[in-house]
Amino acid sequence: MATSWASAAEEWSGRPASIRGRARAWSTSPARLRRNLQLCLGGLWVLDGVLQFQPFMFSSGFAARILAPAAGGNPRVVAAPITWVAGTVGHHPGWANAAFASIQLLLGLGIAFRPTLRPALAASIGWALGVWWFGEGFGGILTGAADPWSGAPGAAVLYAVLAVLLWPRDRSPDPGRRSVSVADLPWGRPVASAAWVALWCGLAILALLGVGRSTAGLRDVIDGMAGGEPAWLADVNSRAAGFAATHGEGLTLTLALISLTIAFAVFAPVALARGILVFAILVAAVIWIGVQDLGGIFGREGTDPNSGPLLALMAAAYWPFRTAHGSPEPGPEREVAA
Amino acid sequence: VTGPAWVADTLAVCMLAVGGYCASRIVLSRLRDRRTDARIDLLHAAMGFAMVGMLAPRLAVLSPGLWQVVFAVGGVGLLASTMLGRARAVGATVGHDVPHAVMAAAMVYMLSATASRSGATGPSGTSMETGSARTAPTVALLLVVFMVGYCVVLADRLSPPQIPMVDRGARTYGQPGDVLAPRSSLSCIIAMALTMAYMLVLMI
Repeated sequence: MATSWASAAEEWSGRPASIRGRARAWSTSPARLRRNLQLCLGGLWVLDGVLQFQPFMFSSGFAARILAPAAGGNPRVVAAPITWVAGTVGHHPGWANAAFASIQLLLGLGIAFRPTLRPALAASIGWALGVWWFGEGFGGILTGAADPWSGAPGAAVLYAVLAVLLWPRDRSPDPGRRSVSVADLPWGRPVASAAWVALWCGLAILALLGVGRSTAGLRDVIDGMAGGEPAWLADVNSRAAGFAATHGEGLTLTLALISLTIAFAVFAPVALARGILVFAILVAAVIWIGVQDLGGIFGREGTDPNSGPLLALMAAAYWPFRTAHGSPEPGPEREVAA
Repeated sequence: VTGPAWVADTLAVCMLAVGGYCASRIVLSRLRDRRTDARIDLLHAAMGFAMVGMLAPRLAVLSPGLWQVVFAVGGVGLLASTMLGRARAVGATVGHDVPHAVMAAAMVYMLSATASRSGATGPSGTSMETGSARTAPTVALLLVVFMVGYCVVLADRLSPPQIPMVDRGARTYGQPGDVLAPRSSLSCIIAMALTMAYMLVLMI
């Protein structure tokens, strides 16, 4: 009595059977998009966990070359705990790293498994903030070295913000609102808008103040990310570094202006906002590939894919859906707006 | 640069259990008159045993070259049978066999990388540890991303159904004709995909 395994599993789980059905399910309403973004967030945590299992992470080099340097330049109150954590991990690198990797795997799978979604999201916020402090030194914000090109304000804090924005809670939408996004659902439009504006205005400021603001600085940031990558990515990096060597200041100013434009996408009409968000995803992708070197994964010392994918996910979370007030036709969005 | 031996040994034990369970599903489905897909179970059993050999070379039952043939034939055969089924029947599951074919392709990739470094096992005893030239690391990264995504999708499907199926009626699962232990099967594939992701990361 043989049958397709997948069909059988879907019959049991009640999921749509066709590829088209699942593709449509991706983006037809904020609630569905939110679940898929939660799965993406879970996937990133699982990827982090798998990367944490790289052989280098089990050596004392993980503490010495990844954790300890995060203390550099930070105020004593921030740096001292980082140094202590790095020392502790350095004494027991194997077991500490196994614990870190397992926790991240469990966070990802917990987010994907619906019954454990809330506790896993809550735990991921705490874990991400801990990593932001002890692993990233608050992204270098307090040292003056933070730079959006290289991943400021730090990938870890973006995990936490995303977990907050993707929290499974539906707040009643404001009456008369013409659009709603995934980020609006749990805490309302004002909170979501404030988070978006703060993030992108912050990136604009960091672009102007960070180490990459000068021509040589941006080139050094790109060169510093390179290492161990395949030929095609090395070529992209080389071209990006060459361009930055001659147009670094212009690029930085452009990034600051682009960031400011993106920051105010949440206040734009639906069609314009969608265009700006697509542009934001493209900007994140270009920086991720051209500058961040895919998070340095090919260097065998990357612990996460850096900020590029997280910025793209966040932009997707702000994708505006027309509500009953903004659309002449009834659609699945009304279920959310009602 | 090598990982601790206990990680490879732990994963080898897990894969031995997963391979054994997938093989037993074929027998159990007939004994208990329950549904399963023997093609997929057989492929997964082979994947489990092959990965045991890669994680702990002393337990290898076939050479990497032979395993490559097994998974190349298995993956292509799976796709071919699915495509033919698609041509004949409405509602066939082309999209659903693709992940298993990709897993078979990942096995071929890992085994070819292993074969290219034949005999170069690291201190932990695995045959995937690198230190020499890498084989198409971009492919390895893409496969890692696929495995991670597949794990998450399967973990989402593990959740109990929220809405009762219309044709299920008052019947409970576990009776003749029902799917054999779907959650166990999904859990095994998640474990297998995570192990593959770990092994592929070593090859990046």
